[in-house]
This record gives sequence, structure tokens and C-alpha cells, in this order.
Amino acid sequence: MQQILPKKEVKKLLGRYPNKDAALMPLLRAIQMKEGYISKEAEQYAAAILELHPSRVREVVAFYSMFREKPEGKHLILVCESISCALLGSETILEHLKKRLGIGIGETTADQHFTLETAECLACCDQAPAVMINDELFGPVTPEELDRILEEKQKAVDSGQ
Amino acid sequence: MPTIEIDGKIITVESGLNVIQAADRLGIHIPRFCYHPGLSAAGSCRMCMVEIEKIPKLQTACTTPVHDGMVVRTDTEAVQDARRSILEYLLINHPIDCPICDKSGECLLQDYYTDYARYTSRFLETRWRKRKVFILGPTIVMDEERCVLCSRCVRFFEEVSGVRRLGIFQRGAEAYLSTYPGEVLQDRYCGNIVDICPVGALTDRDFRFNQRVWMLKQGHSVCPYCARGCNIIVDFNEKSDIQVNDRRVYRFRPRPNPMVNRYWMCDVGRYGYKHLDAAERIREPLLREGKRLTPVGWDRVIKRAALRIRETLASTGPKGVGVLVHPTVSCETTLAVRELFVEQLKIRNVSTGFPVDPAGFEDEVLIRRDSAPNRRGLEMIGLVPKGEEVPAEKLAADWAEGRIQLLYVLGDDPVRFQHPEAPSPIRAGEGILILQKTTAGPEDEHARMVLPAAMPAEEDGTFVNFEGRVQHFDAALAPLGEALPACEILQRLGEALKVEIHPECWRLGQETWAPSSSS
Repeated sequence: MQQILPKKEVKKLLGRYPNKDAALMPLLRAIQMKEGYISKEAEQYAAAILELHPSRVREVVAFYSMFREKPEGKHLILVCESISCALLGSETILEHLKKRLGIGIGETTADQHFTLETAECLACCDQAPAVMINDELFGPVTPEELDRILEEKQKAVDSGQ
Repeated sequence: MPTIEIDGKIITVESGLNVIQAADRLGIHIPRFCYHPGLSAAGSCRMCMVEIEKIPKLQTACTTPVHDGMVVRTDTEAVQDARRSILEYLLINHPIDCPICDKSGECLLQDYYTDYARYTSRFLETRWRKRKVFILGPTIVMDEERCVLCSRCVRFFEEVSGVRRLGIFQRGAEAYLSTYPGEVLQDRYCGNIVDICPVGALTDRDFRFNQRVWMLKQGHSVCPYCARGCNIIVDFNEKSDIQVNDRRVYRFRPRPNPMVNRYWMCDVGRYGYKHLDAAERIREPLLREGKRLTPVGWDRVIKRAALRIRETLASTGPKGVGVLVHPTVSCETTLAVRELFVEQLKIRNVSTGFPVDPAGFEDEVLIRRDSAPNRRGLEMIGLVPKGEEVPAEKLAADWAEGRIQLLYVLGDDPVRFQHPEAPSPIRAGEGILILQKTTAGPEDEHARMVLPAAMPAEEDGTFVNFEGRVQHFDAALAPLGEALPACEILQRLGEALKVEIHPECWRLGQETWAPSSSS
């Protein structure tokens, strides 16, 4: 089986818990950080490490919406849809992003740069409407400001290639 | 040993028990979906909520351990209200298709619904639609709309059969039960998840749409397909609406016995019910007339068998007669054989069947390598004094090579009982072969007479399982066709032979076990 994470990292991670299956969530998170999503192979890889049946791993992956089951773009854009953001125009933000990126919710641009998702509260009501790109929080955002941020991100991706 | 009070009844139980187990012992039924006595407690369905004094909120009876002085009430207004709420929640997306559901009549959801539910739904929204016919494997079909996500089946595979074959994926209303993507549900114990499914989500592809459960009669028996001797329930119709004047067996189910099979049975035993009505069952006594075995009725076949035995004994003495008893017959039959053939007719060419198939499958759960249900019983009774048994292979060879002129075979070969395609160890011989058994086989073509015997579910009897556990069973239903219980056939044969045998020589008593119990 393909080794997704270095053995040393896995060992360190397992050492933090009294029993193996307790390390399931952190292990899945580490895999997602590395690969961007949890593939079927990754489920089986995690199951083998933790001596679980793959169905147990799959239960956890499928339960938590933040474990991603398919490959995402380099930048994951989360648009908050909860009440404060909705009152302050998250709908406009979402429509603008859909139009600009040419994709729907849950879809990824053809160049694999951006994935668009909605989110429940991002714990940032004071800066509504809020948007999170990967681990970075932005708010309050306007369509114009978002255009500027996305261009920056696009440049970063381009120069990185 | 804590003493607790449940609904005014006092009981003292061992510590570590949960409230629901204590209530079960008192005969107080606390409604449950996810709790099953053979599995770990999940506490997920919330149906077993009870009121406990000094605890402000309702508690789940399946996960609350008893402690001394505990006072539990299981039927207060608050408890009933909680049950109503849980049922309302479970029924939001339930199809309520009881009229076409196989579980109908033995469904916990249906039972509790009649007791506690709101009969008028408060929901205006259309319910979720899910997969109605989802084939999980060769024997099991899933109806996702009926599932209440109790996880009994998931825990069954994890805790009892040993491999976690199912999981519950997604969340909330989207959650569904399935195998891991790409896997087919195959297991030697699959059928049990249908029994323990509290609703109609998991149904048996074999039993599905065959019969309404309230039309079935129940009988108790012991499974004859291996040395474990699982206790079973036989579900059958004496007369079905389709085939008038015919009986039909529909299924075997495990009957709980903590010392033998707990709550489970394997699929080999479960689907063994088909054997009872199989086309291969011998339905009437057969006598060879010319080249063909012809149905002739009991009187003629018994008279002929007695005549042949008498003739052979007169010409060759007891040496010329052999008796092969397969370990599929009951202890009672064994005693009758000992009385008739060994004690009275002085026949010593007696064998208790072929040895255990070393290639047979065995596991840690229930299945035993020895596919005979009563080998231990035959050993413990002892047809002939210890050390004087004739190996079955020798007896079969003596017969085939003409050293024995008459061979009387009782019972079915346990290996062929399970694998009908296996070759018969009994070959053609010059002499007279008399078979007394339940099911047709390749050796029948060499036989002069075939006497149809009842299956274990069709007769009273006793099996001794591999651990030495003596298990008596009564006839669950009448024998098929003209078949008779083995003891009765031997009794008739004894009468025809004019041998005086005690009419109840097969009655088991303390002395039955005495000679060999020390060994």
C-alpha cells in the first residue's frame, strides 16, 4: 500500500493517544493537509495503520463535511451563509463568485485553482459578510474586494507553477 | 448485589447489569431499537428512556448501570411522552409500507407505533425518498427508507461474526447503512442481521414476499447440521393458501440459548430448512420390484425387510448382517437400534458412522467441523461395548466385497446431508441393502428397500452436542408424506421380526449415560 504520510509523522501522531483508533480524526486531517482530500486509497491506508475496518474510517469521513472526499482546487473558498452574513449580503457575494469563476456550489474551476463552497457560521459575525479562503478569513467583503483577493491568489498560483 | 425497584417490583441483580436487563428479568418490557441482549449497548435510539428517582432527566435504560436502592419507573407520563417524540422523529421519513413489508407482524416499530405513536402526522413536508431495493449481498436486501439506524447489524458483524462488514455513512436524514463501497455482503452468519433488525430494513432474499409472519406456525427444534446443535424455531404452514393439503416450511430462526448458540445460528443451518420439503425427500416406502424402486406402503416394506433379515440370519447367523448408524440419528433411535439389532438379534457388525471430514470448515463462533449433530450421543450410548465397534469403512468394504449379506443403514450421511454432490461411501454389493433415511442419494440405486424417516424437526428426539450437552426436542411438525419417526420404524420392524423389545426401550433415562459418562 502507498505510504501517504512519513512513518515518523504517523508514529508521533499515534503516540499522543492511549489507543490507536483515537488517532483516526487527527490522522485523517494530516492526510487531507497533505493530499487535499481523502481518497478511497487513503481510507484504506488509515484503516491499515489503525487496525480498523475501512468501513469505520469511511463512517467518520462521510460524517464530517469538512473531510473532503474528492480533489479540490488549490484554493477552497467558503462563503458564510449564516444569519449575520445573509443579512449583510452573502447572497450577492455568492452570486458574484459563481459568475466570476463560472462554477456552481461544490464545483472546481477547470484549471483546478478554485473550489466554491458554502459554509455555516465562520465565527466571524462582526465582519459579515465573511469569506474564508483555505485557512485565511476575509471580512467584511464586497464583490470588488473579492476580485482583488482572487487576482492575488491567482497570481500566487501562477508564479508557483 | 444491588437491589433495585422497577415499577414497584423489587429485584436483586449482579452489579454491572443495566436497567433494561434487570427489567427484562422482571418481565417488564422497556421499548428498544438499538439494544439487543447479544450485543454491546449503543444507547443511540433513545427509545428506552426511563425515569429514575433523584436523576432530574430521563435516562436510557440500556446504558444506565443499576445501583443499590435505585427506583425506576418505566411507564410514567414523561416516559410515554419521550417515546412518542422518538417515534414521531423516526417516522418522519418512514414509508409506513407495513402492508407490503416482510417484517410486518414482528416489527418493533410497528408494535411501538400502535402503543405510543401519534396517529396523525404533524408533517406537511414530503418525506425523503431513498433506495427501496438495495441488494447488499447474495442473501440480504436493504430498504433504506425503513432503516432506523439502530446499528444492531453493524455491531453484530463487529462483535459476533468477527469482521465489520457494514457501516453507517453520512449524517442526519442522509445517513444510510451500507457495506464499504465495492464490497458485497457475504458472511457465514448473515441471516442473523435480518432477525435482529428491529424494522423491515434488512430482509432475507430467501424469505422475502413468501409468507406473512402471522400465518406461520412455530415449532421448536435443534439444528441437525453440525455438532453445535443450535436451538431453533421452525416456521411453517400446515396448509398454505396456495397449496392446499400440503405443508411448507418457510424458515429456521435461532432460539436463544446462552449455553449453546446464544441468539445466533449460521446460514448453513438457517437455509437447511429447505431440506424438509426438498424434492429429494423420500415421501413413501420404496421396494425394488424388477429394476425400479416402487412405492408399496409400510406394511409390505416392513414385512419384506423382516423376512430378509430373518432369512439372512438363518443362513449366515449374525455375522452376515451389518448395521451402519449415521450420527445424524437421535439418541432414542440409537437405543432402539441397540435393543433390536444388538441385544435381541445379536448382531455385532455395528458401526456408528464415518469419521469427521478433516477438510470441513470450523470457526470460533458456532460452526463445527463435525457436520453430524449426534456423534457424541452415539459414543455415549455405545451400540456395542467399547472397543468392539466396527469402523464404518470396514463395514462398507465387507458389504461391497460380499462378506456381509445384508446391510441395514440408518440415518443420512452427515457429509452428504450438507453436500449432496459428495459421493456416497456405500457402494454396490451382492446382498441386500436396506436404507432408512430422509433424503434420496446415489446409494439408493443399490438398495432393495428405502424406508422414509422423519427429519429431526419432524420427530421427538435427543442430540448430544460436541460439548456433551444433552438436548431434547419435540416434533415441531408432522413428517412429510408417509415418513415415520425412526423409532417407530424400528418398533414396526421389531413387531414384524417377532422380537420382543420393550415398547419404550428408547426412553432416555439416567442409566442411558451411566456406563460411558466416566470416560
